[in-house]
Amino acid sequence: MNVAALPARLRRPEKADLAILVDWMRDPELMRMILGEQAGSIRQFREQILSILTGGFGPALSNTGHFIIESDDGAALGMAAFTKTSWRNRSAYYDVYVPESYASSECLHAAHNLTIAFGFDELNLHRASVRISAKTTTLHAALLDLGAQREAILRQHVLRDDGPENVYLFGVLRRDFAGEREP
Amino acid sequence: MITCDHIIIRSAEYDDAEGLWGLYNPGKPRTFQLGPNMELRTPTIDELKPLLEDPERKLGEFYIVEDLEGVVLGCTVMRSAAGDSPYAEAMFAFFDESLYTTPEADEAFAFVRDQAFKIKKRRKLMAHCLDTEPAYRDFLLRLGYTSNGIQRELIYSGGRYHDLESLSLFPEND
Repeated sequence: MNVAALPARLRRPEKADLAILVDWMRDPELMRMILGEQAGSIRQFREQILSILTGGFGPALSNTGHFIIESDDGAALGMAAFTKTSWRNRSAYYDVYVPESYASSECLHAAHNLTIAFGFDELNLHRASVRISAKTTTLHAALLDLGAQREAILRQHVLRDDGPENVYLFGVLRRDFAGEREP
Repeated sequence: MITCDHIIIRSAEYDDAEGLWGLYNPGKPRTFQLGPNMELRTPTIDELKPLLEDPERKLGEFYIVEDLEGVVLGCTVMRSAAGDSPYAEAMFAFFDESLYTTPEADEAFAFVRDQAFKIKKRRKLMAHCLDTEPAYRDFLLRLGYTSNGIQRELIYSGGRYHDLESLSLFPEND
């Protein structure tokens, strides 16, 4: 898979990104990414979006940071989030949101590649972890391709509309990362 | 306070901090020390006191396990037990690790299992163990937990990384 087909980078969100974030807010996948698996109110969601625009690894010891995935020509392609970042363990959980209009397997692969590379090259992580729905099997192959390992299956871990769903936990160590990186 | 055949279980109180502090300083990493960021914590006694009586239960629901003479053997904690969370996480920590093979530990487990499945109506009870805790892992497997897998090199302590295994117990495992 040609990761370089999507030249892009991660950058911290600005107030000028509010319009695109408001547009993405209609997508329940973004709400899940921002608020986690527990249901939250629209008000909480809005408050979180506003805090994203003014925060994110600004404070030296913050453990959460959100980033806009931006193409080289300035288009916002999605969002990446690092959560539960432990500076002591040099590990973090990350998540990637790509709106449906960009959600091809190539884009998702590239977005995960960018996010993991950012974690290692900019945040100096030793390890990045990501939780993936059991349904997104095409993403599983992409993560393995990037050097991640499927480390755990959390059975019946989240409640969706159609009942409990398994979650796959992937982990990638810095030494195993096989994705594309900035030269 | 609940009196069982071998132990007494009661809610933790402010004054328990001094006695429990040793569980946070065991000389080797234990899952009991893990905080929300998966970092090993060693709180001071002063930091621990208010957390034990915190109405928001930031540490989880914290229960002291005593023998029938009132000697504190350890504690058990149930986390993520608030709200509509589909699962809870349980931890069992004893000062003497040989207790993991005894009826005392089994009774502490039975209490937490009933709290999770019968009182809180959770669908799953999770637990974690580090690669430094073989006795604790054997205890969890003996009680019906099954492994979900191992997160490699997740926890840093003592100059090296440690693996963290997660395990699950469902009501049908009983």
